[in-house]
Amino acid sequence: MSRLRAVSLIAFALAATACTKSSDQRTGNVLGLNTPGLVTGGAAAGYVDIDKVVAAHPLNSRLQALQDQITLLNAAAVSGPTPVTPAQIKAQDNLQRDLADAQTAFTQALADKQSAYRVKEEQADADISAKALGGTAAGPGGIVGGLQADFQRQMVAMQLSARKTLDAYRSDLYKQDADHLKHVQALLSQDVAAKLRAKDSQLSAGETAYQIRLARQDQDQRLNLKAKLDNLSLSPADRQTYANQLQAIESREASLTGQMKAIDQTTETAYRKQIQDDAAKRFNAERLATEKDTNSKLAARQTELESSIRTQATALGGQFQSKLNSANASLSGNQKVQTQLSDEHAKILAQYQADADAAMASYQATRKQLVAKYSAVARMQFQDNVALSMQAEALAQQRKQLYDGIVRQVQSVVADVARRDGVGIVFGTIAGAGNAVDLTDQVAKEAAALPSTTSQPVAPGG
Amino acid sequence: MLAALAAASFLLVAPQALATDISDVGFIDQGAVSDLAPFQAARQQFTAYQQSLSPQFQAAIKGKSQADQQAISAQFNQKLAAEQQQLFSALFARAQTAIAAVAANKGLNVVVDKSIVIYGGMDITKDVLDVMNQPGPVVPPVNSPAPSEIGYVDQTQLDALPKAKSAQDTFMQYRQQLQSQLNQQLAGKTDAQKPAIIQSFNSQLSDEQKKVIQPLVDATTKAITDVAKSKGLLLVIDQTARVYGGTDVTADVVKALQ
Repeated sequence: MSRLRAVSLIAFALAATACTKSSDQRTGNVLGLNTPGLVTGGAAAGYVDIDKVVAAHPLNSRLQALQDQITLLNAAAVSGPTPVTPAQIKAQDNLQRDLADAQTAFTQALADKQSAYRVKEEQADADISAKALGGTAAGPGGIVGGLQADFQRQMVAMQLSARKTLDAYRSDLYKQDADHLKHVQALLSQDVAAKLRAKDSQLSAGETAYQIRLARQDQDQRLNLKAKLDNLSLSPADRQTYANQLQAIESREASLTGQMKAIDQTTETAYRKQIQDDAAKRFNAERLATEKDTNSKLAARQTELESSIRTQATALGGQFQSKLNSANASLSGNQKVQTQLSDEHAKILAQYQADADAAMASYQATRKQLVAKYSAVARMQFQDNVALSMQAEALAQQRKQLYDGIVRQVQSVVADVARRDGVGIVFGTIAGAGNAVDLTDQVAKEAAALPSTTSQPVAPGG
Repeated sequence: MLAALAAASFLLVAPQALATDISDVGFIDQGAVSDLAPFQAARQQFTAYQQSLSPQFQAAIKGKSQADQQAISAQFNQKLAAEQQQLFSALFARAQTAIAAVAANKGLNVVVDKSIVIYGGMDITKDVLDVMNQPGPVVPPVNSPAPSEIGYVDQTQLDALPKAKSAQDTFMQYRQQLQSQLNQQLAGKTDAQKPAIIQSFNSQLSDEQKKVIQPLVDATTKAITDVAKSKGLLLVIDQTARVYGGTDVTADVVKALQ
C-alpha cells in the first residue's frame, strides 16, 4: 500500500503540473516518453502479437513452406490410389494386415524398451542415492523402496503379533465358555433326572394305594365267593357261577388299575417334556449370556489392540517419514549426487534414443518393403498412409523447432525493446489490451531485420 | 484556483494512474509442477487404468449398434473421468493451494502461465515446487488476492455465443468442402503441379477466414479492450493462461457482445 501511496503522490504532482489533458497524454508528455501508457521506467506492462512478429521474421517463409509440405502430405494421405480388381483389393487387405502387425510389433518393442530403460535408470538412480547415503547398492525399489520395505515389514510384524495375541485370547475365552456350558448342562441334566425320579415315585405310590383301596373294597365279596367255592358239594353250575363272579372282580380291579397307570403315564410324559423344555430354556439363556459376555470381552480386547497398533503405527510412520525426509534433504542438497543423477539420466536417455531411432528405422524399412511387395503383387502402386503421416509428423516437428527458434529470437528482441522503453513485463498472448503498451510494431520491425538463423532460449524475466 | 482545478483533475484520472502496478504479477511453469513425482505416478496409474479398461470396452461394443456403442462409450468415459477425478483432484488442490500460498507470501495478486510471459514478471515456479515437495498439508493463505489490473476472460463462453458459433460452423463447413476439393484436385497431379494447388487452397481459406471469422475476432477484441479500459485494466488474458487471482471480465464482455 505504501508503494501505491507513493505512486499516487507522483501522479498527483504530475496532474497538478498539467491538468488539462487525458491521463495517457499527460503522463507521457511529462515523462518525455514517446510510448503512450508508460508511467515510470520498468513499471509498465506491454504486449506483443507474436503471430504478427513471427510473420515479419525472415524465416517465416521457411515456416510457411514447411506448413505447405505438411498440408500436401495430409492431402496425399486421403487422395491415394484405389484398388479396383479383386486381386488388388485382396493385396491391399493383406498389406493393411501386415502393416498393422508390423505396427503392433513396433509399438510393443518400443514400450518394452521404454520400460527396460526406465527400470535401468531407476536402478542407477537408486544406486547413486544409496552410495551417497553411505550404503552399497540399492534394492529394486531404490532408497524409498528400501525404507518403505522396512516400514512395511515392521507394520506386518506388528499386525501379526497383535493378531496372534487376539487369537490366543479368543481361544482361551471359547474354551472357558465351553467348560462352563458343559458344567451347566450337567447340572441341568441332574436336576431333570431328580425331578423325574420324584415324579415316578409319587405316581407309583398313588397306583399302589389305589390297588390296595380297590382290594379292600372287594375284600368281603371276594372272601365270600372263595368260601362258597371251597364247598365240595357245590354243583358244577353253581361253582361256575361263583368262579365267574370272582373272575369279574379280578378283571374289574385290573382294568381300573390299568386305567390309572395310563393316566399316570400321560402325566409323566407331559411332566418330562415340561421340565426338559424348562431346562433347555435355562441352558439357552445361560449360553446367550455367556456368548454376550465373551463377545464384549473380545471387542474390548480388539479395541485395546487396535489402539495399541495405531499408536505404534504412528510412531513407525513418523520414523519412516523422518528417515525419508532426511534422505531426501541429504540427496537434494548434494550437488555431486544431483550432477551424477543428471549425467546418468542424459546417458540413459541417449542410449534409449539411439535404440528407439534404430527400431524406428527398421520399422519404416519394413513398411516400405511391405508396400513394395504388395504393390508388385497387385500391379499397382500402393500408398502407406501411416508413413505419410509419419513424414508429416516429422515435418511438423521441424516446423515446431523452427518456430521455437524464431520465438526465442523474438523474446530477445522483446527484452531489448522492453528495457529500452522501460516496460517491466511483456505478455505474448492476450485477449485484449487495456492500458498496456502495444510493442508489436516495434518488435516486428526489429525482428524483420534479424539474421536468418535461430538462437538459444531466453528465459522470461529478462 | 489553478490548484483546485489540478486537484479535481487528479481525482478524475487517479484510478488509472494508481492502477499501473505490475509488481504484483507472477508466473509459473505449470509443466514443471505436472512433472512432479506424484503427478507422474497419478498419470501412470491413470494410463494403466485406461489400458485395463480398453479390452473390456472392445468386448462390450463388439457386435453392438452404433447407438449402443455410443452409450457404452459414454459409460466408459464416465468411469475414466471418475478415476481421473479421484487420482488428480487432491493433487490439483494441493498445487493450487501452494501457488496461492507462495503468491500471498510474495505479495502477488495475479499469477499467470509462463507461456504467455515473454519478458519480466516474477517466476515463482521453484518456490511452488519447494512448497509442493514439503511433507504434510500445504497451509492456505489467510487472505484472498486483491483486485488485479490483469483481467481474464473465459473464451469458451464467448465461443458459445450464437454469433460466434454460427460463424465457426460456417467456416468449418467451408473448410471441409475446400479440403475435399483439394483432395480431388491433387489426385493424379505431379509434384511440380501440387504447390500451386496448395497455395490456392491456402489463399481461399485465408479469404474465407477474413470474411467470416475476422469480423467476429475484431468485435470480440474491441469489446474486451473497451471493458479493459473502462475498468482501468492493463490487459486481459485468456482464462486458460490465468493460474491465480486476476479480474474476471467475462460477464462484461459477453454483455458488450450481445
